[in-house]
Amino acid sequence: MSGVGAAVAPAGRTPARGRDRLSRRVGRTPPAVIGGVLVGCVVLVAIAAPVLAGYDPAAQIATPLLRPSGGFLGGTDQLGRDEMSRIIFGARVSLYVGVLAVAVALALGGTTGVLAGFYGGWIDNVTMRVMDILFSLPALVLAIAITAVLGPSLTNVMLAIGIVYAPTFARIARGPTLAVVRLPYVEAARAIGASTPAILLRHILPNVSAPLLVQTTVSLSTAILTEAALSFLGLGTQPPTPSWGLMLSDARQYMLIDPWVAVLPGVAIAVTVLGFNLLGDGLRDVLDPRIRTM
Amino acid sequence: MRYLIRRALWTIAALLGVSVVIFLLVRLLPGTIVDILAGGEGQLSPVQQAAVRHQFGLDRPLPVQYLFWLGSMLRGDLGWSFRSGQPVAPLLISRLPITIELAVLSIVGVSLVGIPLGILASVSRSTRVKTAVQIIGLLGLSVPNFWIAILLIITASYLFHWLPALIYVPPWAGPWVNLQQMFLPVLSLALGLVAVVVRMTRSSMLEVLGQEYVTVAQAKGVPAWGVLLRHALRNALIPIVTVLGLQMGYLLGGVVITEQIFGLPGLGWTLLNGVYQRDYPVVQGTVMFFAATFVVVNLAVDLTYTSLDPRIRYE
Amino acid sequence: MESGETGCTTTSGGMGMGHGFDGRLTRRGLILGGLAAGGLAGSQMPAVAAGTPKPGGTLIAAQEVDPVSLDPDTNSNFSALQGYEHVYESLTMYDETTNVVPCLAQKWDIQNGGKTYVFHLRPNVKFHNAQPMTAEDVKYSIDRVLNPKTASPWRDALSSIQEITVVDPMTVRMDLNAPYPDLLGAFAMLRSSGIMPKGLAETENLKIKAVGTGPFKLVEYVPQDHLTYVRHDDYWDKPYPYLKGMTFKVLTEENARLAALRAGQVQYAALTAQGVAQLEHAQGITVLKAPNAWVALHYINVSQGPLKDARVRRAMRMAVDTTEVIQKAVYGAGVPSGPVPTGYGDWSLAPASLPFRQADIDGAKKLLAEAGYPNGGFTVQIKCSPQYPEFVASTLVVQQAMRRLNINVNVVQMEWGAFVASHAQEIKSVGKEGGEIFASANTFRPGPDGYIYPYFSAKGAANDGGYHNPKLEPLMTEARAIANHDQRRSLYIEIQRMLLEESPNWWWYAKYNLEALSTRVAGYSQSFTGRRIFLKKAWIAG
Repeated sequence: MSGVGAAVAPAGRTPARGRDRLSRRVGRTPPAVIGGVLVGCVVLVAIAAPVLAGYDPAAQIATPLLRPSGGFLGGTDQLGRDEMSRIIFGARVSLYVGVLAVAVALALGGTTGVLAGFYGGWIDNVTMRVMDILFSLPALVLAIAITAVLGPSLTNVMLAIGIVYAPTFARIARGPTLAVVRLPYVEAARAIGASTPAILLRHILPNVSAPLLVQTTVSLSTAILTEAALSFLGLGTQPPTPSWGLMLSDARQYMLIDPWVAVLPGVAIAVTVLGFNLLGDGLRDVLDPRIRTM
Repeated sequence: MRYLIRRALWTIAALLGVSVVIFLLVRLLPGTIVDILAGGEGQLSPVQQAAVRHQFGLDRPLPVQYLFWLGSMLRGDLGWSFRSGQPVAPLLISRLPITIELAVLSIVGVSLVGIPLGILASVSRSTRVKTAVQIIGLLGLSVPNFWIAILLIITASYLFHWLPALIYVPPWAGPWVNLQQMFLPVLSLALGLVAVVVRMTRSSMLEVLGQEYVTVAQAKGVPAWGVLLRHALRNALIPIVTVLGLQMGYLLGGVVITEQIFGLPGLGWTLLNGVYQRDYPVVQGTVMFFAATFVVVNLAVDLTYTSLDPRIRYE
Repeated sequence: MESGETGCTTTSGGMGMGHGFDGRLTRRGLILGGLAAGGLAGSQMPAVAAGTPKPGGTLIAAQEVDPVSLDPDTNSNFSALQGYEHVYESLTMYDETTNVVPCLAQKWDIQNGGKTYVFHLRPNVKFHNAQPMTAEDVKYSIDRVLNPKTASPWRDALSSIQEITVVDPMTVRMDLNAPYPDLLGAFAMLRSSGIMPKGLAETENLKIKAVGTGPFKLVEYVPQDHLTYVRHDDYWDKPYPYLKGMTFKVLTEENARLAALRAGQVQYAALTAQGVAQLEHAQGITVLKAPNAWVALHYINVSQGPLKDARVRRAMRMAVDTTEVIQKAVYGAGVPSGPVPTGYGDWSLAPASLPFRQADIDGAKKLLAEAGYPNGGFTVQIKCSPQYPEFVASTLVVQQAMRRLNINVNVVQMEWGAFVASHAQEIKSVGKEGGEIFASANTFRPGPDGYIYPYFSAKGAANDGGYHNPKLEPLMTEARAIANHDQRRSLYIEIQRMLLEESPNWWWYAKYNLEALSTRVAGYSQSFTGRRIFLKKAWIAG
């Protein structure tokens, strides 16, 4: 959806100089910093979950729907599990969900796009049409089908989502590749007999990495929202695994009875997705030299 | 011309590919219409099960089923729903207006809010304004859209004791009622999508505003608004329109959850129900419909690129 | 059960229902069942008409699950019944106390030791297309159900009928292959027994069109969206119906139903207990609450592993607190139940007498040790579907309780179609594949037998894992055929006690039927069947 926003870096920019400038310019972009901090917090919470959480997130240890109090900072949910522990462990699920979907999308889509752009011709046509096919298949149908075949687990569902995201990554990777591949020095390199991997690494990769990076941050946030949507339809996380999406979906029935069960996961999702989006925006601003900040 | 022909051929190949994939995919789902009809207690005897399979043509070999379906599709006949017995093509056509209306109104809403905000973010010199616009936009994007929908419903009914009439009234039959019915769903969708348009407008405007012809216009003494609207915005529109187009595609793909929550029988909900009911003709028909729309739109967009930017040429 | 959506649903399974010649549900039995509940403070409105019925008015109702198809013979889902129950009728029907009373058949003679039924049809009954109802139509309708090509999932309810003969235009004779006391109840249940004009199925798409004798005519059904009905002016049971028409709008999301109630856009909605709690302080709405023939349970595949041993199954059940399950699964709107749902006349066990009311961990551990698992140490898999959040919740409570026995429970949440298919596979393969434990429910059956024979007889069609108890088998077969109510009852009580002892299923609770109505709607009463039979007696006041 937002893949078009990633502008293409001009051809032939060498990697080294760009990296120096990168860190300085990220630092000067407030939204990116905020984003980075938010994401950093979530990652930290995910890593330190067992230490931070007071209780087993799947254990029903108290009266259901308690308000926040000394013993249970976030109150308890409808089955009597500690909300706060579930929120904390939920960070792991969210990150897992995002990373898995994006990894699949990058591996499948990114490489396909680069190869399509690199080889061109009928390879390009065929792979892009295959990507079209994937794109046409509604995400839900794919998710249901894959979980049906592989078994209903969050991993399998996010694999399906990764496949759905792949065409976007392919499209993003293909553009810069096409642009660079036609340049004289790349053709020269091929003529000399430089190996394909070398060409890919030295010339293609630096030019696709920027837009792919931006898309990655965006897709990370979208994956989390998608998991929430799938949990709403009952196709996402398997209970009793705590995922913010599932918690939010379960909370629908209790909105006017005990709003806390909805507020906390909602805030958690919002913070994380906001963080990734701000980070992505910041990176986009920085990596695309055609945009000048005013 | 040759490009067109070749592209058309590839498009047909892609559509054929989709048809094979969805045909197989839907049959990979565990359980068939037989199980759904029995309802889980297995009360259909083997004779009865065979009768059901025969009734729906599921006892023929797979390639035969596929070719039969393909043949009818080429003649415009998408088959009959297993569950409701209604012909699929008219069913899809009857669901289309709702999905289209939702999509169109959402795009309009998103543009009306997103483009001005994006322009604001691009011209403002205040970091605070820029950050604020960004965050406001992103907030809508950061919450799952079923959540926004439910919050809107609860707010409307609890605080305002208001909800529109429940049975869908098409815009030509009752424009005011129809608008009321569309209001909440469109709002929930637009809130989620506005951020992308804000972002794209902002970056596109920034890029254009940095161009030489803008500086020239300013030097000539063209007032600021004139520069903004006549020179900058018009050129910035291309990527904005692209993004709106992509969102349109996403919306036309059927926003299942919005449709379910607000009780609007659109294409997305039709498809999902078809999957749940193992209603092969409905699933296959709907997916082919989406695929055809997507592929055709894609082709059109690619062709438009050639006319918009003469540097892009296809051999 | 339902395919694909949340809400109140039923399981199919119309096998050999033992209603008996004298199968009456006493009012006392129903009320006792109702009083034994814990739960929330819903107002128990008696079914008393307030004031004089006023004809006219349209009722708009929220329908929680799409009916999907209105064919009265080919669907097993409860929502289909909710769609066609106002349009079709059968030879008999249920009254407010769930007794079988005459409907399209005015009276009947039972001859030949119970193997022959002669139905005398009600005269001057008109179909919705103005055609008069005759014996030919009855023969056609039931023959259709019996025809294997129709693939009626509830065929077994009527399968004892060998032949239907038209004696004269107002008399039908049915010859059975064996006495079947539940035949009358099977008709009243209205699943695969609706009477339609002769030849209708061949000329109309019955999935979206319906022509019957019921109080309301179907105007249109737009799948996934709504149904509209209009009053059948020539309805035989005058002065009903009072309503001029009804509209059912499909709203699967409960928050949407609640919103519609609050905003006055619907005057009727079926709700969960949580939904009712969210309605508190809403003006102009009353909530009716009554026992419902819906018993939540877990089917157990008894053919493999530790679950083969009745002691293991019982120990696991003992470790779970039934009250906790009720609280967490249905937010308190339920009452503990045995195999026959609590409140079902005098067929069900009194809740206070049920075992397993409270968790008994020590007893469970002792039993497990006896069975050879002193420290638990094994894993079982429980399948459930998110279409029914209450079963997911009860399964999670079980999982939590099993921790105390050191038994690991894998909860597998499956999409509905996959769940149904795997359960069917488990039954078909006699437990070899498909799964171990399935969370589900049994809904209304015309008699206690429907909750027992299909599942626990070796000849039952819904037997999980080939359960066979040689002591129980003859009791179940005997109980099906006894005419004397008291004898039959004591047999079924004994059977249920034995089943609880053996625990081939785990039975949890009978759920309450919660229906919210605008205060302007009068004359409606709830039915133990969970259906909305008595909308035909409702009117809109003021």
